[in-house]
Formats: sequence, C-alpha cells, structure tokens
Amino acid sequence: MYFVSGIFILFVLITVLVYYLVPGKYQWVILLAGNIVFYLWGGPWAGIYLLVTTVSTFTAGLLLDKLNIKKKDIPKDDITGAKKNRRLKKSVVAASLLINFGMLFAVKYLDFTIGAFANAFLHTDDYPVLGLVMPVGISFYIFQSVGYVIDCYRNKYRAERNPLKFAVFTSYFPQMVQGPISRYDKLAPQFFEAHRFDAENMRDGIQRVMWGYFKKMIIADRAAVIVNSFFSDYENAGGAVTAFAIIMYCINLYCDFSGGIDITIGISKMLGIELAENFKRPIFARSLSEYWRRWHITLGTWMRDYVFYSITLSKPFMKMSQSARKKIKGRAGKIITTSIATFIVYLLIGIWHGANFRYIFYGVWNGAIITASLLLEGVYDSVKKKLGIKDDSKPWAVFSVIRTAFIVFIGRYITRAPRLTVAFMLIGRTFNPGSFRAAELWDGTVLNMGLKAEDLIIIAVSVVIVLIIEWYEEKHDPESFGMFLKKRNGFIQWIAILIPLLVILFFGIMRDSYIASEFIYKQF
Amino acid sequence: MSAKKWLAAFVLTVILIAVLLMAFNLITDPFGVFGDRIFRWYSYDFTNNPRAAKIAYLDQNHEKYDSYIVGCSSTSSFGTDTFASYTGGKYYNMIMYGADMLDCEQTVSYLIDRYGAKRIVLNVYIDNGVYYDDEPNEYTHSMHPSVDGSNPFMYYLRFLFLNPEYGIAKIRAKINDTWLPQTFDVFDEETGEYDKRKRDVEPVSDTDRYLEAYPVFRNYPKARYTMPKIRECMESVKRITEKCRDSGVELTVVTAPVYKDYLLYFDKNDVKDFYSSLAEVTDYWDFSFSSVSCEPRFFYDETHFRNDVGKMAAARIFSDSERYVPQDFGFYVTKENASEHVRIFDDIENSSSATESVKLPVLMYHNIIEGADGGMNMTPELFEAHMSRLHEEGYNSVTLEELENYVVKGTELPEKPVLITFDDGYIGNYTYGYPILEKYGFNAVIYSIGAYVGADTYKDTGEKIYDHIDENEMLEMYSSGIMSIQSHTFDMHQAVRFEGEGCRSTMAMLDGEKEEDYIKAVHEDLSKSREMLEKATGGRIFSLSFPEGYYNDIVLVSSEDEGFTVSVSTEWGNAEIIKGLGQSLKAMKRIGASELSADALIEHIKNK
Repeated sequence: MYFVSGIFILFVLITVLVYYLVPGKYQWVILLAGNIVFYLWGGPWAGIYLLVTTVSTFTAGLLLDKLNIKKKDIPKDDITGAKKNRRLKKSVVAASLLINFGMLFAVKYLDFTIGAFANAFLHTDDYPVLGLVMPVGISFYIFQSVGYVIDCYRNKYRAERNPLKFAVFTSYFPQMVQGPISRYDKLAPQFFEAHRFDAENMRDGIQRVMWGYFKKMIIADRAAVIVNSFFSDYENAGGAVTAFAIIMYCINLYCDFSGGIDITIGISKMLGIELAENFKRPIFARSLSEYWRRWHITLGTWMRDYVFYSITLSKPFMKMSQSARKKIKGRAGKIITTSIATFIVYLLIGIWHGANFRYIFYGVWNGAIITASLLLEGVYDSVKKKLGIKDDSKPWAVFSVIRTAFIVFIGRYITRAPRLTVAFMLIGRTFNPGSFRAAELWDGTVLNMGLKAEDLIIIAVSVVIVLIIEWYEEKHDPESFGMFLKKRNGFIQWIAILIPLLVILFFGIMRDSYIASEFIYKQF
Repeated sequence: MSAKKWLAAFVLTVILIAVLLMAFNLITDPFGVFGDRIFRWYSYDFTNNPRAAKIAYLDQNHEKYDSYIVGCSSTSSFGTDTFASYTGGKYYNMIMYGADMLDCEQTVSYLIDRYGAKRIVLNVYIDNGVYYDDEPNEYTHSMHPSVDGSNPFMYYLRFLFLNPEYGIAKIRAKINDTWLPQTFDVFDEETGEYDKRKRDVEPVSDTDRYLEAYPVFRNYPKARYTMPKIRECMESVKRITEKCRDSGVELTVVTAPVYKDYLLYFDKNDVKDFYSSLAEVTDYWDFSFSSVSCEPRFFYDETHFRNDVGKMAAARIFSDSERYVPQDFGFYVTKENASEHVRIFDDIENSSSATESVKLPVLMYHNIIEGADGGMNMTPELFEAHMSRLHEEGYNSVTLEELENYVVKGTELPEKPVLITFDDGYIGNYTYGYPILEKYGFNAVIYSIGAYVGADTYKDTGEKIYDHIDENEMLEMYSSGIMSIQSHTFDMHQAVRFEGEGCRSTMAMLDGEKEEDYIKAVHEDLSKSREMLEKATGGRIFSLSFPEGYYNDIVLVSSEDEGFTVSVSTEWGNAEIIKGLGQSLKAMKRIGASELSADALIEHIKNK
C-alpha cells in the first residue's frame, strides 16, 4: 500500500475511526490488526521476514530479561556466575543480531557481495544471483528491533511479555515504509495507554499529513521525473544540466523522504502517538556533522547509541584510547579513537543505504570529512581567530550553510549515479568549465527532461514555500508553522485548509501524468 | 478557531470540494458516461471513450437502430448506410478503438440482450490475435459496467472524481469546435462511425502528393508483433456465433483489409493460424489481404482502410454487380476452403498494387470569339485546330457519367480519354464550340455561373461583359447530348473590377466571416446553382468547377453535401482516376488549353 493512494487514505480513515470507537484498552489490538492488513496488502511472503524479526527479538528480550533478573541474585563474589551470566547474555544478543542482520544481509547485500567476490577473486561476472526481493521497510524494523534487544541487554527496561503487544511495536504501520527508527521505551507506553479522541491532535495530524503530501506529490514526484530522465541518458549531458539534475535530486530526496515522514508522524498524531522527528531542516546545517544531526535523525541517534557507544565503550577500544592518549600528545591523542569510531559510524551509514561501492564510498566521503574536521578543529579555530571570524556572525553562518550544502550536494552525485565511476565523471564534468555548457540551462534542454515549463514553475514556487516555512520554524524554534497559523483569524485558517487541499488535489493527485513513484527510501 | 471548529471546517471543505468536483464532472461529462445530458456532444465523448460513451448514447437512442457493426477501429469503414442499402436494416457502428475480442463479445451480448439487435456485423481484425482482455487506460478504454459486469459504483465514482482538466478540455474544445471534425471529435454520433467527411473528399488522384501528405506510407514504422491471443480471440468469436444463433440474430463475420506493410509485422505462420482458426469457429468474408492492401490511397493511414473500400467489401458480400470490386478482394472462407485460402499470405512481400487507373487529360477552355487576342479567349480556328488534332491522334472525349461509372462501377473508358470543359458559360461555347465538337464527334462540359446566365452586362450595373448562354441554349446543347451543363457556382465568382476587393470572387472564406455564415453561404450558393441548372436542362447536376480553382476542406465537403461528386480545379496537369476510389474525381487537375497551339496541347496531354 503506497502512502500516495486512495486505498491508503481510506485505510487510515477506517483505522482511525475504529481506533476511537473501541474501548481504550483494546486500541492496541486495532493497531495490530491495522498493521497486519497494511503489511499483508502487498502479499503474504514479505510478512515472513517481519515474523522472524518479531519472534527472534521478542524471544531475545525475554531471555535477556530473565538473565538480568538472575544477575541480581548472583552473589557479588560469584565471579564465574557473573561471567557465565554475561556470556549467556552476549550469546543471546549475538544470536539475535545474527538472525536479523543475517536476514538483512541476505536480502540486501548478498548478491552484491557474491558479485564483488566473484569479480575480485575469480575474475568472472558469471555468478549465481539469488535475486531476493527486499520486503518493505526491512531495514527500519530490523534496526528498531535490534535496538530493543540491545536495550534489554543493557537492562534499560523490562522486556515485553506479550508477543502480540510486542508485534505492535515491530510492525507499526505508519512507520513501516520509511521509518523513523523508533525506540521501544518511547513507543510502547503510547501504544498501550488509552487515547481519547483529541481534536488538537487530529488537526495537527491532518496538517502534518497535508504538508507531507504537498512535499511528496507536488515537489518530489515532479523533481523525480527530471532526475530519472537525466540518468537514463547522461552520456552527453553538460555540467550545468548535470548540476541541475543533482539539485533536483537533492530536492526530490528531501521532499520525498521528509514528506513521507510528515505523513507518518501526522497519522501517528491522529492516533495520539508521538513519534520521534527524523528531520530538522537540514538545509540550515552549518557543518556536515550538524547536517547528520538534522537529516534522518533517528538513524544517526541509533548509530550513536548502538554502534558508536558500543565501539567506544568496548574494552579493546578503551585500551586503545588510553594508549593513544599516552603516545600521541595534545588534542589529537584525546580524540583519535573517537574519530575512528566516528569514521566507522559514517561508513556504516553509507553501507546502510545499499549494496554498492558507491554507498561505501559515500560513507567514506562523509566519515572522512567529519573525522578530518574533528581532527583539524584546532587548526580551524586558530585560522578563524587570525581572520577575525566570529562563529556567530551572520556572514560566517551563511558561508557555513552554503559550504555544508555544497558538500552534501557533491555527496549526492555519489549516491545517485549508477556507478561510482559515473559519479566521478559527472562531478568532473560539472567542475570543468569546458564541459559546463551553461547555455543549456536556458536553451530548452531542460524542457526536454520530461517536465513541462509549468511543472518547473510549480517546483520552484513550492520549494520557495518550503524554504519560507522552514526558515520561519528555524527562526522561531520550537514554534512550528502550525502554531503560527493557529494564531491567525478563522478566515486565514480556512484558506490554509482550502488552498492546500486544492493544490494537493489538482497539482498532486490529479496531475495528468501522475504515477505514484515508490518512495525512494523504501528500499533502503 | 478552536481545534474542533478547524476539524469541522476541514471536513466541510473536503465535502465542498468533492461536491463541486462531482457536479462539474457530471455537467461536463467528458467521457459521456452519464449520458452527457447538458452538452449532448457525443462525438466528443466517443472520442474520449467510445466503449462507455456509445453505450450511454445508445441507452437513450437505441430505438433508432436494429443492427450493429462491432469491432475495433478498422470497423468504421464498414459503413452503416452501405449495409442499410443492402439489407434494409438500421445500422449503428459500434466501433471502439483498440477493441479486443472480449470487448466485442461483451458488447454483442449487450446489444442483443438489451436492445434486441436483429443483425450483427462482426469485424475480426488481425490485432485481435495480439491482445485480449486489455484495458490500457481506465478512462479511455474502460467498458460500461452494464456491458462488462464490472462494479458500477467504482465506475461512476471514477468518473465523478475525474481530473477536472478533462472537463475543462471539453469546454475549451466546445469553444474551438468547428463544422468539420478535429482531433477531439472524430466520431459521427448518429452513425457511430468515424467522421471522415474531410478525408473522403480530399483529392487523391496525385500519388506523389498523397504520399507527401501521408508520409507514413513511405516510411512505414518498423515493428514485430506476435500473436499470443489467437485462442482466446477465437473462443470469444465462437461464443459470439453461439449467442447470435441462439438469439436468432443474423451474424456476418468479416475480416477487415490490412495494409500490406502492417501484415509484414507478423510471422506468416501466425497470420495463417489466425485466419484458419477463425474458419474453425465460423464462416467469414475475408478482406484481409488483396491488391487493395497494397495501395496506400485505399487507406487513410497505416491501419485504417477507406470508406470507399468498405463499400466495395459490402458490394462483394451482397453480390452487387453495380459496383466495382477488384477481382481478388473478398473471399468467403469456410472450414473446408480455409487451408487452401490462407496461402494468399505466402507471398505478401512480393505483392504490389494492382490498382486500375487511367490518366485523364482534362482540357480547360473559356470563351471562343472571333479575333480573340489570347488570354482566356481563343479563336474558333484555334479551337477547331485542337479538336481536329485530338481526333487525328485518336483521342476520345468522355462524359462525366462515363467517368463516374468508371470509378464506381468499373465500366471501362474508351481508349485515350479526354474531358473537354468550358468555364463561365460564354456564348462562344454555343456559337462556335458546340458545332465544332459536333463535327468531330466530341462532347464537353460547360461550367456555368448562375448569376450570369443569359447576361451581357454585369448584374444590375449595366457594365458590359461577354455575353453568356441562356437557358434555351443550355437546353438545346444538353438535349443534343454533346454538352453537359454543370456548375461554376451561382454567384461565387464575382468580378473584383465591379464589386471591389473583398467580394466573393472565389469560394474562399471572406475576411472576418464567421465559419457558420460561410458554410451557409457555400451551401446556399451551390444549392441555388444546382436548382437553376436542373430547371434549365432537366439533367443531373453533379459536377463543379471551382472558380479560379480555389477550394478548401469546407468547399470540398459542402459540395459533396450538395451532390457535387465530380469537381475540377485549375491546377495544371493530367488527372488520374482510379477504379473504386470515387474521390479521384475530386479537384481534378486541368490543362489550360486556350493559349496552346495544337502541337503544344498534344505534348502536354502526353506528359505524365
């Protein structure tokens, strides 16, 4: 079921209606039923993966919970008992990670890995291809469930004892398609408490959903046409048109992904459930690391909590850190290990995006820049001091935002090009004045990329609207634009209902050539 | 506003938008699914979706019909009037572009069960072996729910919540609607056929020009098609035959002519399989491949044969000896003779057009007067020199009726035919032309301008002009069988020197004239001219010479409407007329002979 379909809207309508009609203590059952309907809509086979994840992480949680209780009973001096307990816990976590990441690896990376090995060692392109179809949202629910197992391992909270209730957590339908990656301790209480119909929530939810549809259908789906058209025939493109297509890709990616998240969060809000934000206006990030704190936030915090801390707090790493401090003098010695861990995290984020060398390189690109800026922070500071640049000055802020946007823009060549070599070639073309061919931006070439002039105007106007609203929210953080609207008079509020509805209807849903393109992030 | 009020406003706004949208779609009804009761512009609706809109139309009008012609778009040229003239039925053409055999089967069932159809003509086109149960677009290709049994609620819902751009397009088209069909209204709602008025009168006599106008025949698109659906198609045909038999409906199965290059898209064995499988389930009239398939001028485009070809097909089916049908066109296929018959497909690539045509020099003269000093006038001596030379060279003058018989009935013309014509109707045609023609045993046509009959002054101005023949002279010449009197319009050849610029000196539309007024003026003028000449001679008036040779689509179609099936232009050259293609008699080229010496004339006639 795609978010952009009549059947999905009907499904949400029915789910919300029934949800508020049943007694509060059964609302979670409605959610579970909704999840099952949503997931099985596309066919039963994909449900098997979800079932395996649910059963394996549920069992792991229970076992870890038992071991945590046992641990309390182990006398302080019983070192072997404690060791055994720890070992058992570790095996449980290991087994659960193996099952889940193994499954993820099989559907997502196995063909790539076999191919890479066959190429590297056997020098052949003739290798067996499994061609497993990736089920919807598998990386999202696996990450989310694995986070739960690690939390149980860390004894952060008690494990869920009701498998059906646990299944509500692993299969929660609004976030099934593209996240966010939620935490059990944040979601579970909300699932199982009674929610009474709340008009405020409903209004905020509907507004958020409309905002998501606007970004997705009016902007992202149009921009996608340009991007796809460009990459179906990029051989002879000039640098300017290439840059234009990549900018369209940035717009498309942000509006599609964040729009989808808006729909997810909005629907949850209608159900009285608050989800974690996944985007915080990344366009205003002043550094690449800040960008990653504003873009796909829940993936970043997941990586921080479950990868970064796991690495830096692990015994071998602690040892290494200590020896580094001794051997390397000054700041570098203090942060070298942190930098390594940071690099690993970004490498993993890269790989998380998909099975391809370009994603590995994308990880390297982000990791290297962020690690380098960590390591060179001292140098930067002294240079800035010499030049008399203050961090809070406006021009510097603007410069930082543009610099960050530029780095992200280059990164997008890497993620979108079909191959890494093509990415390099296209970057080269963009920055070589001989192949830039700026005239192609206005000689009609752009109008041959699948969109009519009016569609380009719609994109431009819509992007400006998004920027204005995000700028407002950035300036008035944490006040949202919705709150701003609430303070206006009734007529303006009504216009703010009517116009978006009409725009979504006529420029989105009813767009003649409109084909609901799949959410780009769904396959990740 | 409070959150509750906001929610109420939201819900009401959604409802408001939905209601307005539904109302708009209901009123404009661009696919005609609701019966198009406001616009009643069915030709537009059919164009959008012939399947649904025709049913919606017939639900209101089926009492007018008792027989139906069913099939995909090539079915259109099996004309309703033609079939009606043979069987007396009241036919409706249920063509649906891209129809597969399931569409046809469901439609036939509906026509029989709901409308009590008495006769069905089913066209099985070669494409029906390519796809089956195919709905490439849910708006333009969806069947009416009462025909295919789909869910009517979802069907009407879909069209109620249609993109309003469709309705806006209909309103915009209505504003730009013209008398002749445009891309948005290609159907004729009364017959259900494609509205081919324009294409049926376009001059086709010049092959090169035809291929230039329709380059698809020169650069036929390349493709390969397979036929995976032959079985399904034939199962459907079988059920149609059973349904007709059980309901006592007279079924005629035909296979439409296919253009040669199109047939070559297919594997020969598939083609043979297709046509022999059809014989397994029913006897049928096969028109698929013949010499007709090899002549571009028998086709409107790469897949659609002309209405004239449809007339030949019907003539074959109903053994009409009054109409020309090429020898190899049309064969009644049965189970017994099918395997033998499908051998016609063995040698498609080496077949060529066997069109029977004849070069026809049409000579254009004006006045004949003593001492003429060139221009449009000639001396009696020169005219006599022309005639005597033609006679010596063995040319035979032909009458308009003979030409008509040649193209319609296939009656042969004499050797070396020429058509002699005089424009304007000057007295010299009577004084000199008539006796000279008689002397050499020739006949000719005078295209007379109604307003100047018998006049030697310009209308009421008293200004002197050449004297014109009057009704008595017309009758005398006509009765002799030597001269045919035909039309040069009643008053659409006004003299600029008397009337000033902007007068109706040709049949062109005047500056700033409304299309409606123009069409009316053309019709009225032609009708007036015809009535006058009919009254004068008692003969049939069916030929028109366009003043100054000017014509356009409206002129061509209007003159056809007024019964003028033969016309001449002033474009220099020899005409070519084609058996089976009546419209090769449209806007025939002529040789302006007045100024030529007899030698030059013969030379021009002998040119291509």
